Amino acid sequence: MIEKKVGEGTYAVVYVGRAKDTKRQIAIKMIKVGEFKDGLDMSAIREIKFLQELRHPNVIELLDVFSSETNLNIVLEFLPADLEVLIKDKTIIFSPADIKSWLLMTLRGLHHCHRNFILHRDLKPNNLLLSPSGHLKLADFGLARALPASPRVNLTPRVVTRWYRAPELLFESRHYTTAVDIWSVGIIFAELMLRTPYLPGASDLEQIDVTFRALGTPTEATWPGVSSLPGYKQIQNYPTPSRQELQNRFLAASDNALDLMNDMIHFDPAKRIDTTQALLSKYFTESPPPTRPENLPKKAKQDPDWEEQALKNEEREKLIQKTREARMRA
Amino acid sequence: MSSSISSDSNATTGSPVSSNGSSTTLVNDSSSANTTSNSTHDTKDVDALDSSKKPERTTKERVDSGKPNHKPETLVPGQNVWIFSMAQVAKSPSAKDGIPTKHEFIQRAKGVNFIIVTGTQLRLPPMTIYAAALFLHRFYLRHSLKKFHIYEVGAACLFLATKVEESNRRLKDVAIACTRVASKDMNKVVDEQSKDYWKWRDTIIYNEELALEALCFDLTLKSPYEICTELMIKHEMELVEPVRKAGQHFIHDSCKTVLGLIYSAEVIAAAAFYWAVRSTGTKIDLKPKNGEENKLLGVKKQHVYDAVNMMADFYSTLQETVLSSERKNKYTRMTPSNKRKASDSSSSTSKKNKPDEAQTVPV
Repeated sequence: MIEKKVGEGTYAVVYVGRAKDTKRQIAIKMIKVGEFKDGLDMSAIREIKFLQELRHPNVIELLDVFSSETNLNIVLEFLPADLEVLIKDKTIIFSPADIKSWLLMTLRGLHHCHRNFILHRDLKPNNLLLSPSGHLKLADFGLARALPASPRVNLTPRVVTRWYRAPELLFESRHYTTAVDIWSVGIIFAELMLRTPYLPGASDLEQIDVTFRALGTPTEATWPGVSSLPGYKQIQNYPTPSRQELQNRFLAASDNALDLMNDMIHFDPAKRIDTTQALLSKYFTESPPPTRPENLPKKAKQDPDWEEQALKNEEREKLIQKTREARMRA
Repeated sequence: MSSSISSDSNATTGSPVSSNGSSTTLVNDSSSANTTSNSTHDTKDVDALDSSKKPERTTKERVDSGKPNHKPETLVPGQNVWIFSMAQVAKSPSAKDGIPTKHEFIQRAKGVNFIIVTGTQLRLPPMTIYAAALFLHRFYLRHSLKKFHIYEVGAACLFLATKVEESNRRLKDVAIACTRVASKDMNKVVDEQSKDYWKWRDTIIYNEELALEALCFDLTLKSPYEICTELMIKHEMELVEPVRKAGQHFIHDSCKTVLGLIYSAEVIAAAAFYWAVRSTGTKIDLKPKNGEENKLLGVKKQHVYDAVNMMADFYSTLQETVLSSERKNKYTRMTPSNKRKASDSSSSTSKKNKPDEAQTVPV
């Protein structure tokens, strides 16, 4: 039973509906068939393939797939909000316990993916959806792929939204691992604390600059093999930020939080921690305990209308510009 | 050397393992089907399953009641529900349409051959071709050969497999390759003007969605190639070229039969490894650990033997076909590996005896 249209992507139209038997709210992704010159869209196939395999409280649930005369339809559970909306909404205050709770749920969902040898490759606040009960779920597996068994398989480096792209991807490495997802989570963690994107590069080239300006330039000593990556560019040598600088950047962060973040955004993918290590981090056991999902902040009751949204976006853009300028000066 | 397979199974199955509860039905089904070229129907547990008549939308309601250790309708996560007994496979929709099983199997082999030739043209990795072949086999468990032409479905399965296995090819290239292979002229000039090209292109697009639905949107496959390589590494065989090749060929050839519908990727990989070791006469210690006497290479011993025997059967019928018909048909493609295996083992006649011997043992 379809209620209303909620969005339109490049390859699909999303509708909200309600399951007839359970009255549960569902999202239906109708995939346009036949409009593409290469048959069914790759991301639709990936989404179906991987969501069929994954069942986890922190991964979006695939309820059904069926094909009608004109469409291929993916039925997913309906999740009304995402983390990006919350981060943008400045009327909501995040407590350290809230951040911990979200990060924990993200890592749990990601751990489940990685345990099944699936790379998500597009983690960003926008793809972390929130259920009405506050549970966070990974969504959008359109870029996901299975971790190749053989290291000889080439992967495309053109994945992950720019701001959350790991350095090995920026240098166009064709052999990467689950570590790219960990980097994205690390950046999301920083964004949750800052309430503004941590490394907002305006172009692929600028992204390299922004990343290393904030985190220091990697060298052969800190990241063995970096200079042999295909896209490696000699760039200005930025110093690695000292602990004090980081502390100043993230005022509310505890020592353990900073440690965890540093470990997740280690330049060398081989030294970056994996989900298991991250989940066992001291950060999750120290006080305060993570907020229970049902007590987490939620989106403001009514939808802000278009103008308001546009205004907020503008403010956000300004803020991003400001951070960028501040970093340039620093 | 060839008789070692049977003698080995003799030695092991003669002792305690001969019939352990859960595996018996499956084993009986497949072996009886083996001997009498698939005409026997073990009807007692077949009627429960009718894969063809399932409503289309139930991705989660597939029931595999043929497996005795498998409670219908409760799916255990991670369990492969696409495993059937030989009798179940023989009761396919095509059989219901009056197509003899023997004929259906030949059609299946032809379809897979089409996939292999086209896939090779497109330089696809082996696992993509294997996936396409398995998709094809699964498709014809749910649809009849009378309604869908095997080449057309094969082309769609191949195209789908390129996407699923992340070895993308443009639709145009796939369609061109199909046109060439179908017209049996690899150097045929095909471009966007030719009629056949458009016919193939439209067929693939149309059948792709159909195939996806027939496959219940279940696209993740385990790669027997990978598992086999792991086994080789575990037994330090991965650098022994003949063994490695024999294993790969076994898996490669297995997709022309319905082996992939009857056994899991693990069993097929183990069978391939076992075959490779035995056929090349490699000395290797495969003695199972204590407490796992009925296991071989991590899977049920009987399953491995049955799988190997089924393939041996397949090879010998193939050889007969090749010998009896002088004309060079498409099967000649397979003879190199076949001949090699035959010469590596003692002779083709003893090979033919082998499955019979082995089958008499477990019953």
